[in-house]
Amino acid sequence: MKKIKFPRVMLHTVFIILCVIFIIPMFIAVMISFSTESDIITYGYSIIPRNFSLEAYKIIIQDSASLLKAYGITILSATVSPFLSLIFNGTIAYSISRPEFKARKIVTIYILITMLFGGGLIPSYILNTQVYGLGNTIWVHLILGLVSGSNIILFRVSFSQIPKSLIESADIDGANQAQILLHIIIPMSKPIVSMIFFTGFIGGWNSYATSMYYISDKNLYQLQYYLKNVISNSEFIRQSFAEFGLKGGEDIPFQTLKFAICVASSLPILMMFPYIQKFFSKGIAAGSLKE
Amino acid sequence: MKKVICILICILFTVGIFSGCEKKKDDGSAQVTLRWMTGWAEQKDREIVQEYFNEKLAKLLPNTKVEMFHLDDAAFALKMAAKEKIDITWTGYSHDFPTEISNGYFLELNDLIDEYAPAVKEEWESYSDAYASATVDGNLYALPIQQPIVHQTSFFQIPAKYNEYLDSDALLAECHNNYKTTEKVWQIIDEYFHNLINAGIFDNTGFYTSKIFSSIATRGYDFVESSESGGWLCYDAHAENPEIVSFCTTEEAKTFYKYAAKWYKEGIIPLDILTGSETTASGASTVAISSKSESWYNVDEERGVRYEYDENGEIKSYIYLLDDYDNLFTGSTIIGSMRTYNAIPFTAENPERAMMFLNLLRSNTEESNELVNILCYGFEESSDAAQKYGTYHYTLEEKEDGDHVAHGKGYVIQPDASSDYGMPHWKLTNAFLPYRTPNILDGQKEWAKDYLTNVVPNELYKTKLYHFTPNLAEDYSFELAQLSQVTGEYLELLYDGAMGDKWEDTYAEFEGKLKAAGIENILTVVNEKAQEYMKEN
Repeated sequence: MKKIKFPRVMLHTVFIILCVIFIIPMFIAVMISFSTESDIITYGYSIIPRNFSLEAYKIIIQDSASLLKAYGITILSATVSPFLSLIFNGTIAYSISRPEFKARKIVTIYILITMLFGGGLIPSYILNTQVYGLGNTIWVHLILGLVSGSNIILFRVSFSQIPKSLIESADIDGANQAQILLHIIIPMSKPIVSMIFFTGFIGGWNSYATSMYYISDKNLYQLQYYLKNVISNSEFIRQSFAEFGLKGGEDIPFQTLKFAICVASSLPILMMFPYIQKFFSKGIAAGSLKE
Repeated sequence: MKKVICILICILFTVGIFSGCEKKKDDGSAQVTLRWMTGWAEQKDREIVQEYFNEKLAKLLPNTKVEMFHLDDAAFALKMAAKEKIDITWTGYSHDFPTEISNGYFLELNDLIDEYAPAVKEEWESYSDAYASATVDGNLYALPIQQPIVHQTSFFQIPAKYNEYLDSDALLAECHNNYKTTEKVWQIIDEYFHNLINAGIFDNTGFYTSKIFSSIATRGYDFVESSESGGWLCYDAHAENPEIVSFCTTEEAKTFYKYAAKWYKEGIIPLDILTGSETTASGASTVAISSKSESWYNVDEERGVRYEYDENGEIKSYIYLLDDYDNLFTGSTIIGSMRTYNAIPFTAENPERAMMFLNLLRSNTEESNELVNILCYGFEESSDAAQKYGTYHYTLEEKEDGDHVAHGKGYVIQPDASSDYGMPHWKLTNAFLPYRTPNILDGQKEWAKDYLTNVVPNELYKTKLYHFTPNLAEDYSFELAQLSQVTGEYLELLYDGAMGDKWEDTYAEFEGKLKAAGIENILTVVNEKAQEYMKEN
């Protein structure tokens, strides 16, 4: 019979407790989204709903066509934009990681300056809308923030740690720079590539400011902005009912709606996270060691 | 000779430079598309309604099209800073209208109205009080969108099941006889809470104090309508020579802090009040809620108490109206609903045509009212557009008195983002003109007009600083930002009672921080301006 060691039991116990502490709030959030508004007001939050209700979700999917479009725009911007970002940032980083590139110091300093001094919202807005004409187009979701100084630096540090001998041998074998980047550098930098992609993915998924500032066409709203508007409208209707002394205003969900929106917006990310977290931890650690 | 050539070249350049500066009058012959920021969520059928609207508009204002779009409030300042072309914009309570004016976002409209807008001019003369709220130094910066909201009422609402525990007669008597809130009001409310506790039925779920503070404690004070709200600047509404003070430091505020601290200590205010959300509060289930609502209700008919009914017709909550009816007043904020406007931004490419268009919407003809109805409601069920597009958005009902009421599809009072179509009047134009949804204005049109033009100006006491809107934002922005920061940090702690017995120490600290932030300087300046204003008016 295998002997059970006390420290191991303690360790497991601590982690089980921690798991419960972390999971319960999320579980409560999901349960609240299935509660009735009146129960929340009368009895407060509870782990198990007293009365099961899908009212909050009905409001979210009321305009299902718009909701699906918002999901579509968000998925598009959260996947295509980080992918393009990998190409742009990766190629710039590769060039400045190569010692043969004479201007690499100047380019690196230039990139660092962009990290230290941002243009600010108004100049960026003028540039993007009046010069590039991105306002109210799908491109604004894909192109904004495509090149990031910090991502280039992360890539560069990671690329610099790849042994020179590998690159030299590929060079001797006749590989050109694109082949070296594609077949040697990128496969050996998977953690940082994954980390930058998924950071971009989560950033794109959670973004609502782009829609707020640049978009007035409802068909181009991102999910988070669409959901924010659902909450605002729900609150507005409740206030209108109250103001005009009409019945039923308090039956329009608000608290449950907020939690249903949390679930609708974060569930896809939560489901993905277990599969991508290993890339996160490796990617964040990449570049932190110096040979 | 050289000198002559030089002078000629200089003249040529000067003429060249100024040759493009001649202001051409808009004779309506050029094709123009007006960009109109409506400030309302994008609607499902916006494109087809807009197309139909433009078809109708072409007959009344040739060569003019309108492109409506929604803009988040937070994005408006950005668009102005970026000088984005917007011909007409909604502005109002959710914007900072005075700051927008001082920032130069809007054009002065006086000349445009004289030149292009006779209907607006007539309306300005009829509703001078309403228009005064958008006037600074004699210049009009926006057209008020009139709603018959004329009076602010503080109320205290409790569930019907708790009514027997409140000495409502004493509460109403105390409030109806004192235009400011006395300590006795808080004693009566305190007694009500303890009666519930003694009966074992007290439940503080959903109980929040911020609205009780801002609506009941502030009774009798008129707040200065400007961006200086960070310091809660106000004055005694009935004072002969009012002095502007910060409400946070008044005796009425301090009395409330004292009771809030007591209630927090006794568990009447929830312990998690600082992290809770107020929006769940409901008059039928929460121990007490309060608000100061801008109301279109005729106060003469509803003195003392209103009722909220459940689906069986039973009273589910009592709403006690706490006005002192002999001392109702109208000041810089009271004459209601003036905080919803149409303005023409400085970025407008076609301000003349924009004014012609706004004039058309307010001209109260059959054709222009039809335009307003299309804007507000979309297609009427019996309209040719409904046949053409196979959808409709409202049904028109003719009342016995010849008045008309629109029944919107999918909503009772106001449309929302999920409605097929519908934008509220108060985002678009003069609410007196078009058809109205039944629950807002049915039968109230003439009453409302009379109330705004006769009752309010003649029967309500006008404070000495009526429509006083000082502009401090330009010269004292740093102090104002500091004040706002300090108030944000301390005020909630005090009105939520969260400091318990230490509230007096916290208050002293708050007072010190207000002084350090420059409140005395701000009050000196604003009082000087107030004195000047009173001399001039």
